[in-house]
Amino acid sequence: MDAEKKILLKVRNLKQWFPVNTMIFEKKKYVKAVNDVSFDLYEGETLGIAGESGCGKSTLIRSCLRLLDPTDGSVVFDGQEIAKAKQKQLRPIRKDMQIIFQDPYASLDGRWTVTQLIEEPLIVNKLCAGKEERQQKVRDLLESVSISQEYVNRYPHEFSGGQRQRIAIASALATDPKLVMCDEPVSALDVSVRAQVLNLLKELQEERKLTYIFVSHDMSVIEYICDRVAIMYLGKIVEIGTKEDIFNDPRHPYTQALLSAVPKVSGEKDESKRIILEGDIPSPVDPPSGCVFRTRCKYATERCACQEPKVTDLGNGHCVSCHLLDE
Amino acid sequence: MMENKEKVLSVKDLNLWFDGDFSSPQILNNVNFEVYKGETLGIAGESGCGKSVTSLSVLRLLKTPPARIQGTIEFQGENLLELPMSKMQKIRGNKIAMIFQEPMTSLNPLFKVGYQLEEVFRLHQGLSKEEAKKKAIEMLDAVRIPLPEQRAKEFPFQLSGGMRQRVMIAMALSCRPELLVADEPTTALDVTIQAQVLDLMRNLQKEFGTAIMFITHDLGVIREICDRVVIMYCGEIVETAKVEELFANPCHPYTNGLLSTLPQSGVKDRLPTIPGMVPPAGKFPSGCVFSPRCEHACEQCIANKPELYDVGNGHSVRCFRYQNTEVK
Repeated sequence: MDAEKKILLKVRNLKQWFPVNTMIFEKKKYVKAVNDVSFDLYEGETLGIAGESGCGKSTLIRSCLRLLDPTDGSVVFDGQEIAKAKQKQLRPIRKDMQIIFQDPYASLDGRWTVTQLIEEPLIVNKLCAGKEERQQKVRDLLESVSISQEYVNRYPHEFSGGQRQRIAIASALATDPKLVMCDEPVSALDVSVRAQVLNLLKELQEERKLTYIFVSHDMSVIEYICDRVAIMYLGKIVEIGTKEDIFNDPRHPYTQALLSAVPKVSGEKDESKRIILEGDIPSPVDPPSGCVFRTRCKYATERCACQEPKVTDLGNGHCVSCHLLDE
Repeated sequence: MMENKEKVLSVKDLNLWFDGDFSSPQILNNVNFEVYKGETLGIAGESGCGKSVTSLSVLRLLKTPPARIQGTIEFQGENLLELPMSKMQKIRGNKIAMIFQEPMTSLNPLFKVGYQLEEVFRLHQGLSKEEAKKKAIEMLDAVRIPLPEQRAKEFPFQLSGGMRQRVMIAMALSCRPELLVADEPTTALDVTIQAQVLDLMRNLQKEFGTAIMFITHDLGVIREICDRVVIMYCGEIVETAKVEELFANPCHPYTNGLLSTLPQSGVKDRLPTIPGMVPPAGKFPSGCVFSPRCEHACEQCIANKPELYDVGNGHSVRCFRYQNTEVK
């Protein structure tokens, strides 16, 4: 079944390390924000990336977009290797991959009108022949995100958070991208507005056949919008699989703990089933040897400390890196 | 059952305005609620609904003016709103303590964690430096901070977010307050750390018997930790009930809307939404505050303000549809 689906983005052994200031004679240290991550993204699907703060989920999508220069590894987008490509070569590809940021208060330039914000990518990429065509396109885009035409000459500060996020979405969609990376697009919004934006993202995906990578720390949002989910911990993907596999049959101890920690508004309230993890996330400068999760894992053995777990494929693309499963 | 319980805090007809140069929008409108001994009362609502302002006015932390407060806040037989500041200082941190949302900004970055904790004991209990130090370490241990002696010597920036929030909780509970006001204490934390902190608060409450006023926008957290809940919208209480009752039988259209907009496990359909937006302060509708966004709104709702109608079982709703409900 997987063979039929076209792979849009193929990431292999991607590493994104940031150097830490050290003394001259000290050994060089790095924050290993993304450390050896591999995954495939199929056309038309939504891949969710979930994890706690500092696990590297935002860094991962930024290096996939080449907003950062990856330390090592390969990123193949639509058949082209982009991890080492030059900026000039990236130009034509950029319009096919867009990003929506978390905070719509920060991502829109306060000195630009809505029209300017949305037509900028059209001008940069020379996508419209004339001014008329461009303005028509801006109007169409605003309509598709349900922002009234009267507002074309207003500034971002005149809008509410939900409306601003819609404008950011319109601006990301201006170039007709194939892939849209959503970096916590609804985290800054109130619950009632959040549902509106999630619905919009889903509708646009159907209409325009978009592929999404959806980063969020909110598991209920991930479950609602994604087809497949990757769980990250300390720069590594510890488990990846279809939404059903991850939510109904989580296999990695971290995924199990993460899912049980989410407060739910419906369903049974069973306190005995809750897994409360001990301790904090270790510093990414100095991650634990072997399995990165072992310091908080209740199943940890000596083997976890000395050997890094291999990825075990449980079938149907459900992959887990844990020693418990590779026997 | 509830009548037998001891009231710790009772807020009556709390009204609050922020006086500006050109307008003075009303932020709170006739807020009434009680907190009983040993229970956790949740206050939930979206941003701008007045939940934080309510908690700040309980501790008299709002600057007056611009804030103008009316009503009574009764705590141990005294109206907090009429107390002189010197008396209020003695209550704050001692009888009523507060935990804020952002643990980084609520701890002083220039002082060691242990010192900041000692200060509470020295100020409110008049302990000597050595005694206070011992107590501070005991408190750090009580909030399950590993190696408390060492941690006490560290600065806030050396601790992680969850750890800092534990220090805040330790500080808040160190004088065994009657009432703990927690304003979004877990919002800035990750889910696994949030689970730890909630678990800790639950255990400490059992140990110390503190009443907690828990303010959050996350209904999931409310369901986890609270006994009773108050839902606020546009500065008014729109619904109040016991937690199980509220989640099993939400009555107010706003509560219903809030609950249905949350993605449910296993549901793939379009999410129901509440049309429109929360009106800005000062532009709250004159009738029922929710009427412009409500699907059941009729002429009566636009013209008149509904009261809180009792629907039985300690559950009241501010909606005309429940005006004539027979109380069992």
